[in-house]
Amino acid sequence: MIRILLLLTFFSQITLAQEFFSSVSNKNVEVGEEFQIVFSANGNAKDFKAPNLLGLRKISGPNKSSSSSMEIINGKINSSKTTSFTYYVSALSEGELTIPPATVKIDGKKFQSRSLKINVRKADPNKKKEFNIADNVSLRVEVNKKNIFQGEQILVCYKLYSKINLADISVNQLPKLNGFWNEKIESSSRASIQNIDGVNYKVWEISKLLLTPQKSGKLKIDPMELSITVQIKSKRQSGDIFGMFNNYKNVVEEIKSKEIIINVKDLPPNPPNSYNGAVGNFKLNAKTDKNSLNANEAINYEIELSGTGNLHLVQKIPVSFPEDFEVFDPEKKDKYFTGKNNIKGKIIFNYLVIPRYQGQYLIPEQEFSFFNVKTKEYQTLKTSSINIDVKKGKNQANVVANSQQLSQENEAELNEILSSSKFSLINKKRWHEKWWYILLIILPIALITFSIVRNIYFKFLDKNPVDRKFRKSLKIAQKRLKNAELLLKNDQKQAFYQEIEKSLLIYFSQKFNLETADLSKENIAQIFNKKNIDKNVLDNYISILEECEFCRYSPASIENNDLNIVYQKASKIIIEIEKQLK
Amino acid sequence: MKKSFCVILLVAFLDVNATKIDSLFSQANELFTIEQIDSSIVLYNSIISLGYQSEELYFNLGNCFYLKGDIPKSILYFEKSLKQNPSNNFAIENLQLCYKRIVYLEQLPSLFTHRWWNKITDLLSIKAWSVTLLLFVWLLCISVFTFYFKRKRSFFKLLMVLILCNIFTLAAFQSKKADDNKRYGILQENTALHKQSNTNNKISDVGKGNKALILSQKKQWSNVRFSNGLQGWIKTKYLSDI
Repeated sequence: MIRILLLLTFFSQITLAQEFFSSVSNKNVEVGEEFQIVFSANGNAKDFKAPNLLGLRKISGPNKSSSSSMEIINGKINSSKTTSFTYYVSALSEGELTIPPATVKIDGKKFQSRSLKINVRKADPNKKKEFNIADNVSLRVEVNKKNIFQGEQILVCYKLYSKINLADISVNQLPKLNGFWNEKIESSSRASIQNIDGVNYKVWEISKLLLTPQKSGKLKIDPMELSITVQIKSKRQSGDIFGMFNNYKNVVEEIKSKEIIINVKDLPPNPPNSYNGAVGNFKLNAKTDKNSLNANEAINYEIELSGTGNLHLVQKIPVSFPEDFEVFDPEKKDKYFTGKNNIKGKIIFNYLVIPRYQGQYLIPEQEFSFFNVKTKEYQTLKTSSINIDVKKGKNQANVVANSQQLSQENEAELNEILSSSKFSLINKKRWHEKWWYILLIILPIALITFSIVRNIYFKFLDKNPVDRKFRKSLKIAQKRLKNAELLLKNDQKQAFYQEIEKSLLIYFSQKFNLETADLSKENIAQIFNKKNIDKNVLDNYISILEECEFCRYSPASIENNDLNIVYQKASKIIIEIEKQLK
Repeated sequence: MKKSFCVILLVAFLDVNATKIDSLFSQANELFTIEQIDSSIVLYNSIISLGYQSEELYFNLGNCFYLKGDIPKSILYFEKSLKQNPSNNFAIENLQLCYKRIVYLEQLPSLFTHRWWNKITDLLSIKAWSVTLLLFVWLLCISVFTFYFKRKRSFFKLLMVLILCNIFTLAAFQSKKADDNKRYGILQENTALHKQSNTNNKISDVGKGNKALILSQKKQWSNVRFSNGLQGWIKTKYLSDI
């Protein structure tokens, strides 16, 4: 940080004229040597866009820092601000290297720095390194066994030994452990101190793994790659006058462990029947929570497998129970804890069992086989058998007999099969889902609602008597005309004319809301004019009325032939008026 | 013309199938009487795979599985038979025998009104209820018509009674329909009831042969409620739909 500040003050003196520039701390570097790239800007820099640092390894950056200064010369105040972005990098390969320009915005304007060229030398092997990593730090793999059986577990520990202080350790590459089932064991991140040949080493456990080989043959444990940062005192004197500050330098080194081959042997042939892939050293135990109980009560049967080995691969221990016991899925409980070089633990399968009937029962011995790593043989474990006394509980019917007796008894009670049947299609629609059923339900409701609504609508319309008369006039006229037709058929000529006349008069009186007495010819003519009805119609109308009048008083002159014409004329007039009024 | 021809063809086809199925059914029954239970089950199942069902068919299948000792399956088929005809007493009696041989979950006592209502709705089958509803709707409409348009005021009381009848029938029909749409399953294995799907937090164990109301279903898990009120998730593969 101090160095950065120094640099900044240095740069700010010479670059007042320039707005944005780039610089490197060393133009001739060795491969792997650490150097700085600084981009600095005068003023308030924003939107810094970093260049593509190809061929360089970034150690840190961009570190933004800013400084401001104020000068007062002859009473004139001059202030300036500098912002800088610093990268710590090292070159990856030798040759000429170009650092491309960076861009930045200062007070809204965009600036670009110049590109820089640096020369990368090959690292000089003869030149005595300031620090030799191999002498001080080493990464070792510790394996507790190299010759194992398939399924047997080994403990692998990656340890970092160091004589000196390390500033940082980071894992570059984790080992790929093909062919192993691995479980990480927690290891302390703090260093312990170990004395080897009189030298104190700091020891870090980087990673501790428990491996279970899944196949036989020669299996490789891959190396691990670490990068470590060492802080060493720089021999170069720093620029400060006082020499108060020690100048430290960070050196990043890569370190790799060795590869280890593990020889995995096949398990011997002909395993016992109950063998299920377990390797290690186990104990088997079984117990129940009670030995005597009433029928239809529950017992807990617990079978426990404990020991060291690949316990986590044991999925199930097959257990057989008497037939009349109701057995529920077991509950699996497991506890593991890691010892120094293996997994210890236990698995408990807890079966809930309900005896259904009274009697003496025996839960038989259960077997479990595994491969014993120590004796190198298969071993079969047996639990002891457990006696269960099932009593007849209170108020319990049907528990006296065991299942066989019961089923025979029940068979006698069972209703016999039925011999005749009416079959139906499986995917047949239900009655109420058929379309015609829904239609039949909706139809009457719709009809009744429609007619009621219609009725109400007309009642509403009829509230105004004039309107009602207007609407009903046609109906009454038609009724009268029909009457007239009847009279015509019966040859009652006088009545016929009366009926025709009346029908026309009433029709008009109701249509135009007039008293029958007011229906003089002049009045009618006026109304016809008002309503824009053809003169033809008016003439026809008046002629019919006159004819009717005439005939009423001199019935003898009427000929049958005319009657029909009059009737048709009258109905025609009404139709015509209805049409023209619309 | 074409339509009627099609109908004739269809009827003929159905008839052929019906006689075939009747003979299959009687063959299966014969096999059952000479205690060839496995083969009679095959024959019964072939009828189902042809797309036919009947309460007697399911009842006989239930008997077959009972004699084989597969109680959960036998319960499944008795229940299927009861679904066809809820008042099949033979199936009800045999089902009681089955319940003696499993860990039968006691039913949660329901409210007396609920029980009464269920008794009433069970009086008629869903088909009968739908016919009754149709009848009452027509009667109501006719009486409304006469009341309103023919001005028969004496119809008023009749009208009120009919409206009440309609409401009652509709309610009964709807609840029957809702019952009919409910999906039940029979548990085929003893299993654990879980609080949530895909997890291991067990609520309790449930025995095979119990009837569960299926509330919802995911791919491998079903949310079910048992008659004793327990609700949770079980694996769908252990459940057979009625």
